[in-house]
Amino acid sequence: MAPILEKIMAGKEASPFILVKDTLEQSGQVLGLELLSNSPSNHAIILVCAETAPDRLLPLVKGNHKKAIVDCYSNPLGWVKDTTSTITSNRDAASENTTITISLTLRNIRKATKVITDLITTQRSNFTIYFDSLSQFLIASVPDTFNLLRSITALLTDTSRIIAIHHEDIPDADSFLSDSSSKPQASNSLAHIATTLITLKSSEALRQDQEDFKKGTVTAKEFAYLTVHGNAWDSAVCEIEHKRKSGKVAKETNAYHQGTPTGNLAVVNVWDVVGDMPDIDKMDLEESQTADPAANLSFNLNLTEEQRKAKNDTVLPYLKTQESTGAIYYEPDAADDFDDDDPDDDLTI
Amino acid sequence: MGYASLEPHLPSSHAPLLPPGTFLSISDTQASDGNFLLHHFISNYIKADQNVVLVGLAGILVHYTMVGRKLGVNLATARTKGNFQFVDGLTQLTDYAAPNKEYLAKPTEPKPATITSTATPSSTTTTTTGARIARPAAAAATPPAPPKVLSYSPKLVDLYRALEEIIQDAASKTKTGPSQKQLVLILDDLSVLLNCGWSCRDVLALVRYLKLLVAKFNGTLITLVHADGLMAEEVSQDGLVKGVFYEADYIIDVRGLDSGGSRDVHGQLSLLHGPGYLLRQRLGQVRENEWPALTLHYKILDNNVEVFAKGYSSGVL
Repeated sequence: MAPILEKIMAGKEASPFILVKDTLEQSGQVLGLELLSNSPSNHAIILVCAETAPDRLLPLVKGNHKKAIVDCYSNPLGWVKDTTSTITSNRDAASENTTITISLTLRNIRKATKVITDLITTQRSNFTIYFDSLSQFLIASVPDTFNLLRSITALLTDTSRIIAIHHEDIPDADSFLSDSSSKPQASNSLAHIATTLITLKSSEALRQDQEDFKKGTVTAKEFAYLTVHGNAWDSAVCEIEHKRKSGKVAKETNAYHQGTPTGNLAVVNVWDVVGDMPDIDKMDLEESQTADPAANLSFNLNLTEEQRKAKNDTVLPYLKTQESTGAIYYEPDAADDFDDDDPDDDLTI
Repeated sequence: MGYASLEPHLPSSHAPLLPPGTFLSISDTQASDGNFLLHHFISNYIKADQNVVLVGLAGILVHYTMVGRKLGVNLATARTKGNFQFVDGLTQLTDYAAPNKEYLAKPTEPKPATITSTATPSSTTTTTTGARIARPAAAAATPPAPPKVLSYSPKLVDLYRALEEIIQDAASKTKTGPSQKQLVLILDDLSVLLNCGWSCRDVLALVRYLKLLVAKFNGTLITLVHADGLMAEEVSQDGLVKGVFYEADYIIDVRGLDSGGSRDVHGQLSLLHGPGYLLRQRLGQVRENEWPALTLHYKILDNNVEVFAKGYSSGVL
């Protein structure tokens, strides 16, 4: 059974809205860009850059997709009056695609929504829109950000999707208000509208949890915003919750591994990265693997070929009743007294 | 050189300076002041004859001058040469200073009697309703002009514009031939801006704009922010630290020892990999083990800071 992350990366599991939740300790940007690079080749890619400079993100999007950049990074609050036009085109020598760049400020998310939805409407289908950080939008206004996402999801088709990175640990605009505890957490609300939720954790954090579990203790943690184990380039753990169209939700914990910092990502089993599987999970795994109940018996329960053939050929006596419409089908046997007459005939009521 | 024992732990590609176009975020706590790191960089850049623009939001020039002297740099000379610019972001940052304005240094005051008559009068640049940068007269052989002062403005954008002018000025004055000098902009410290009432979102935007501005001039941005555990419950404070960490390329966290104070070890210094660093690695801009993430201990001496591996304090060995 291939890990579900691998299927999602390969596009075998369709998902209109992939949300990558990360923290300072383990960034999801690398995974997000890898997911983006694996977009179908006929997809146009719309990069909404709010946290990373577009020229830093572009080299990491592999493939010859047509690209459009919405640059919310260079002028987030409109403090710099841009004398150049807000829409510039660049010919990308490598792929012969013209990359348009739209500059946008995040002062007014509603205006930003209009620009982005216009861009999507012209594209119409076969695109992937990538948000390198929703946090910059959420810090401006939570409801407007949700409206932005809903406007985009309304325009999605079977051949288009959203990939967004969300920093769980950055406060959103609502957190700064005094009554913030009464409002729903943006993180939870985002998880509701996403069809695939990938939560990143650092491999070391999981290793530490494993150690604690084995010892039965909890290591005291000093307060730190970020530890020295944060953002290791070689691997990370992903907890995936994927909602299929059928309604079934697949929940798995996978991991990814890289050989070199600039190398390819390979999806692996989480225990390959973190260490030994804990005993409880080992027991679960053994149980789930169907053991053959006919083994280890002192008598033989198996069938020979002839017996199997005879079994398949038997005609079951009441099979007809299973196929009928509901009419009563009465077949009297030798002991029955079969009388066609209606027994109530002699009543004179 | 700043602190010799710290040098090997800093990014080595442009040592003793930082790689241009990057942002180093230093965080500290009440128990462990991160100021000593700023002095290290000030000293290194000046000794390497590069530009330093220091925005003192939490300290006055005298303080930096005195520490600089201990580290072997003369900030006054550097100011005259044009290598060092100090921006006073302390005395008039808020409107609380307004009633006492007459007691504060007047940037527009005429120079002392040694000025010759050819000195041009000061030109005040009035930009918006808020900030004004008064440029003191450029005199020939007089002591360096008093530092530029950041005046109060309700909008942080005015502060940005003021700093933009100063940086452009500093960079243009010291363009030596084909290569532009490296510039470092140091903000000491960001938490002051929060405390003075500007919103977390605005301060983070300021950091973004300054980072972009400084990169245009072959420069590096260094900021100091307070990151105490106790203050983490306050949303603005917490949001500022996290936001700055997401923006940064390099992060150095200075914290007290968890076990309490010690005579031989004043605290711990952690070199941390944030999301920005991970991206740099992915892009191939930094080699695999160029800047490993680790925690060191330090001890502050009279005119030096000793940085050593955990457990290797000279008091222990």
